[in-house]
Amino acid sequence: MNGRPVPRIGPRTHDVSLLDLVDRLLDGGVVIGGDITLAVADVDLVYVGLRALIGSVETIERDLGVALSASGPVLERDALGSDAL
Amino acid sequence: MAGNDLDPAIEALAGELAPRLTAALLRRCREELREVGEEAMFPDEAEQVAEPEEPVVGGSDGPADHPGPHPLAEHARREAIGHYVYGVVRAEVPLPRDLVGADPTAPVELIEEAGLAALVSEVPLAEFDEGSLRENLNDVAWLEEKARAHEHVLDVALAGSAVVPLRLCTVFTTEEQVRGMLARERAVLFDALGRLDGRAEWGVKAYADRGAVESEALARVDRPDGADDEVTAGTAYMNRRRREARAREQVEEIADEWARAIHGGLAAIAVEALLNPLQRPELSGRDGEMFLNGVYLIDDVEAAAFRAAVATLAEDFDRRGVALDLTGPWPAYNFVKSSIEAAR
Repeated sequence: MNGRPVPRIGPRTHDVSLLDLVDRLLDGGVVIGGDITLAVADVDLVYVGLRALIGSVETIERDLGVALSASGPVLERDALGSDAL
Repeated sequence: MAGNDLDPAIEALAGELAPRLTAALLRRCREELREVGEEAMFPDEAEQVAEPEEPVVGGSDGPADHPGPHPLAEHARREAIGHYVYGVVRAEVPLPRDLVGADPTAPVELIEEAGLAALVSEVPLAEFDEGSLRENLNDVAWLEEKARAHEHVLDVALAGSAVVPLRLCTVFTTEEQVRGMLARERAVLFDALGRLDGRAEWGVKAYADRGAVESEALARVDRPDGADDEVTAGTAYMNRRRREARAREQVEEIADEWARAIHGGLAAIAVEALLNPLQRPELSGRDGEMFLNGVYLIDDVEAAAFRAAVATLAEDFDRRGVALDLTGPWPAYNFVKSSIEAAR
């Protein structure tokens, strides 16, 4: 198997921010018309709305020191006391 | 052995075998379903327990080989399945056996045609048809789960060969349609694979701390030597205000200059380099303000040099209040953004 000589930066899938992922997966990649995919224009609209939505989730997470993960909110005590708003 | 001792034993054995039968039989049943037609395949009869000596793998059974309707096939008829395509590689590229994608219960497999192979896994159409997709794509938790699953599949593929990544959520109703797509888009896909061989995408984002650019601007604005000592306090004040105003005008130029310096330095090592739109400050999760969002297609043999260049730039700019953020290697999402439709 042709292994790549490049060491990866950390455990890839979890180090990457959702925004970086969405920018690539919804705005990049080859667009192929699957017979039941959303039309490209529809995905673009969803993408625009999503970027704002993701932004609000990440802003909440940062400001309140909460991780809104799939497994439920996790309070991060250190961040709660900060006045970085 | 008495007859009524046999039935519970068969039931227990069938229950044990069912999960193993599921993948192979379901797949075969679904394909036959589409070829032959539902009415012919599944008359309304009572469900029977599957025979333990039914072959699980190997051979291509036609409808005539099945002794009767299977409870699993009934299940397949009720549950519509789509084929989610993650990306395309050359045929005969090996893939790990235990790789799952958008549906964690379905393995990622290769569907081959015309010298190419699509990375595909089955997904329930209840979750991925147009109506459901519209709803689900607006659910950040759902999107995050599927996006990470999609990326993971392509990450694994990228470790072994060139891969053309597809946009999220490309779903076909049958395997035949996946093959048809590969045959139809063969030229574009082979061209993309050729451009991506031995390469990967890397991302560099640059952030300036609040005031960093203004400080730099102020430092550059002409300052008369000692002139302030000989003027009145009022004049000195006005001089200072004028310098600050001139500094503010230069802020954009400086951010631009920094972006060009970083981007230019990295583009020199890259096969291809692109400037992407800046992510909005509240979205990027960083305190500073983003002034560069670059993506670079880098030969694997140049990757170490590229990372060293980023590290050097990071050092140079750190004292100016600038932080660099490197991500990668990525499948080349930003360097295959041609629409297949546009290529026609």
